[in-house]
Amino acid sequence: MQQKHDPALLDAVDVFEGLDAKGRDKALNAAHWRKMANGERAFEQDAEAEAFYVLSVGRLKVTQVTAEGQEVIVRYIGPKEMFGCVAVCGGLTYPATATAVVDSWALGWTRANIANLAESYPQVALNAMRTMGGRLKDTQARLREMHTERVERRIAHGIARLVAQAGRRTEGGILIDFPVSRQDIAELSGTTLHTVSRTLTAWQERGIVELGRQKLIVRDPHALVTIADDLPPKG
Amino acid sequence: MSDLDTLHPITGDSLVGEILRAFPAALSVFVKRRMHCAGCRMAPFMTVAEAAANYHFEARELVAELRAACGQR
Repeated sequence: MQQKHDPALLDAVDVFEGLDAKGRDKALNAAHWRKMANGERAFEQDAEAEAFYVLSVGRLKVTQVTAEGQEVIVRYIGPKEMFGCVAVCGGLTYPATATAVVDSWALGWTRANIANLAESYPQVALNAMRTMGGRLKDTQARLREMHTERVERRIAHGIARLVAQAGRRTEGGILIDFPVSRQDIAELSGTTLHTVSRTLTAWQERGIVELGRQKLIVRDPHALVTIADDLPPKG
Repeated sequence: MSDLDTLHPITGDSLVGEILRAFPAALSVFVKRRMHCAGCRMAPFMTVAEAAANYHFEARELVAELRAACGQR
C-alpha cells in the first residue's frame, strides 16, 4: 500500500464535514487503503456491510441484479464520493454491488472503526444520513423518469448524469472521462442495448453525440438537454 | 474555483456555470431571455458564446447584458 494518506481528501468529503483537526486525524488513523483493479468488486449485493469507503482515485459503478439476471446501473461513484454508506448504520447488507471500472484507490473504514468514531463525533453519522438522503432523492427522481418518460428522454437523462459527474470539455465537445459502453448506457437508462444503439446512432447522425469504442462525446449539449427535458425546439 | 470577479470581466469564453455560481444576479438575464441555463447540467461545460449560439442570440449582446447585471462595466 504505497498510496499516501491525503488529508485534503477528508476535507472534501461530506461525511467528515464539521470535524475538527483532531477528529480528522482520528478518522485518517482509523482508515485503511484499498486498491481495486479494473473489474474488481469492492463489495457484493446482499453481503454483510462490513466497511464504507471514500473513493480517492478512479471510478466505480454501483449495480443491482434483478431476479431475471438483468444488471441495472444504480449510479457511478467518482473521486471524493462515499460508497457502501449503509455500513455506517450497522447491521445491514449492501444493497448493491460496487465494481471498479478503472483502476481505483479508496479509503475504507470498518464498521467497528466508524462506530467508534461516531461515538466521539456524532456528526459523522448525521453527515452520512444526509448523503443517503441525497441519494434517495436521486433514486426517486430516476424512478419517476422510468415510469413517466419515453425512452429517448431516459437515455438523454442518463448521458446528462454522466456529463455532470465525469464530463470534461474538449475540442470536439464534452467527453465522458471514463470508459462507457452502450450496454452501460442501457443499464443506466433502464432499456435494452438494441434501443440504445438505435437511438445513439440516430443522435450521432444529427451531430448530438459521437461514439467510439468505450468512448462517448457529447457534441451538442444543448440538443441533448432539449431531448432530456423536453424543451421547445430551437428558433 | 471560479476566477470571475470585478477584475476578471465576463467574456464570450466564460463558462455559464461559473458565472451563475459567482454572480447570482446573472440568473435574471438567462431567465428573461428564456434560456434554460439555470440548473442545467451542461452549464458548467458551456461558454456564454456557445449558449448564445444555441438560442440564436448575438454573443456580444448577451455578454454586455451579463456584465451590466453583474455590476461589471
